[in-house]
Amino acid sequence: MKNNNKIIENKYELLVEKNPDCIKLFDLKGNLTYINKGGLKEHRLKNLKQALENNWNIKDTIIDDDKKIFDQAIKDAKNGKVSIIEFNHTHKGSVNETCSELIAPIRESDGSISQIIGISRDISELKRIQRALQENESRLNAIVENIGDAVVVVNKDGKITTFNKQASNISGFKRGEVLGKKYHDIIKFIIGEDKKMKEDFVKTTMRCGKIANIPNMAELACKNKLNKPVDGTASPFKDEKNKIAGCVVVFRDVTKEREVSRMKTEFVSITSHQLRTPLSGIKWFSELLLEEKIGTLNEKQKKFVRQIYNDNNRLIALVKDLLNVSKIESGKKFKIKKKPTSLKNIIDSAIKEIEPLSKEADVQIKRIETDADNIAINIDKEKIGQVVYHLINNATKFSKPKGEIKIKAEKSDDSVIISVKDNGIGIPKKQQKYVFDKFFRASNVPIESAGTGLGLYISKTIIENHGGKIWLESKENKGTTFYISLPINTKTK
Amino acid sequence: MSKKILVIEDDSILQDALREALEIEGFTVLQALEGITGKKMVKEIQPDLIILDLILPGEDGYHFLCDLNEDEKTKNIPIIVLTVVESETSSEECKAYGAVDYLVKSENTIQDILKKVKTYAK
Repeated sequence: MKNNNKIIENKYELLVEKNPDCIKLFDLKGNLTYINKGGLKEHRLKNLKQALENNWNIKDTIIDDDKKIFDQAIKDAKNGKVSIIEFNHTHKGSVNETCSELIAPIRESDGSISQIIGISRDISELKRIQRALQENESRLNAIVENIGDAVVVVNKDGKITTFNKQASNISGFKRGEVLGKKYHDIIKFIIGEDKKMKEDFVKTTMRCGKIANIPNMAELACKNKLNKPVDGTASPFKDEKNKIAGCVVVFRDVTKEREVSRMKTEFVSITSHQLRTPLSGIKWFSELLLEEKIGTLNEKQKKFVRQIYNDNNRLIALVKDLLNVSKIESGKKFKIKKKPTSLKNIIDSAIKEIEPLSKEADVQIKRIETDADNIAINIDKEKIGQVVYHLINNATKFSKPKGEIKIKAEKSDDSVIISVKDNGIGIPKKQQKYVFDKFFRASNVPIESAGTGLGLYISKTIIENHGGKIWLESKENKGTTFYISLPINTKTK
Repeated sequence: MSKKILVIEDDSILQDALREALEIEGFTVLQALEGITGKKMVKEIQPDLIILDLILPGEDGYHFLCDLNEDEKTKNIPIIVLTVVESETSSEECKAYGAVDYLVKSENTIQDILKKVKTYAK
């Protein structure tokens, strides 16, 4: 019996006295009859005796507005009901606290209610965090709602969960019409003359977990059946298990930007065409002078006229490149006419064309023939020829006298890789990533060797339009190798 | 008798360069600065070959090509288009209207042009 009592005392000690929550007992009139240590601490009381002697009443600490809630819970407990209530209370000289309290009846063995138990906990911090979270959420909602870009959130099932005001403005769809619907039934981005998107970039983002840009020159198919030029991104977001939980698609109306871009492109195109007429005049007259059929020139005159002729050719090349760039930027891809072609003739012709320049530069071009030269691949002979010529021309320009250029085509899986390797000045490592940018010129290129800075940009576009890739390896003062890979099996366009 | 070449080109400086080069090679050069005059001259002189610019004041080179192609009397006169327009679509269109060749001015030397003239002005 003694042992049993001891066990009960221990349990009581653990469950009640050492419990950090405030545990109180009330008589049926609501007067306090017991409070545990947690309660004494919470209510800044020294001991139970002090509380009882001073007729301490918990209700006195509850703020007036919440007193009714407490009274109702006591009333309900008397009627056998259990309530969980929240109220605010103050202590003398202390700040407001929010409590969550369970108020329940205690029944005797005959079922009658003799006392009421109240177990409360200070939830002020929890409430503060909840408020902060709510404020944060409201702030974020306000930002998303009022941001100048359209924001559409898609969950992992592909359903739209957020559709902000701007998304409605651009697309013409109301939020109510789209929430919960599959995004691909609503958000349709289209591109090109056939108005088809090659790849669903939202799907790609969800699959790969990487940010994807809306393809260049894309348009959004709006509710009113009209299309609006848009630009933007799709970014994945992850859940707590680090799995892709959805995707945020952000886009904006770029009608004005496209119009400005179109005007710029048109301006470049018109100006370039206008420039071609006087450039042709300079070309032809200097050629007539150099041929000396209308009179002989002395050596100095000849040298100067040749200079005019050569510089004019550089200008002609620049105009040609600018026109190509304006074609690329207007979204009109290069018209690629693919035909099964072997690389042999393409490489040989490019080398033949470059020979006068390579001889003048004292650079040897070494052609390494392989079986890959004769594989028929589906390419635009002229365009690929233009790229190969450009790479060999660059290699020649940036080689030192007695330098060597090696050109080779090799088969690799489903592609043919053409490499143009030189042992010239190389490209500084930090600048290599900018090589395919418009107007790029490496810092170690002498001004007299500089080209238009557009050739590699155009080459990249041509190769990518063939479904291929272009890349390089380079070491400053050791040389550069450019690689082009072209798929062997592509459908003829 | 030397071959008659009609050059239809609105830029007088380019006209001068072409005339100079063609005359050195022994051709007789006739010039028109726009298409309508060019068409009249075609009927009057029946040239052996026409060098035609596309962007011309008034009626453009495409109309010129089309009209000559529809007329039995002029249909067989070889026409070399010499233009600043570098476009495969334009080239295809001109060839469909009967042009024998399509040359982009700044991409071709005088020698390139003469070579073509000699080939077609038989």
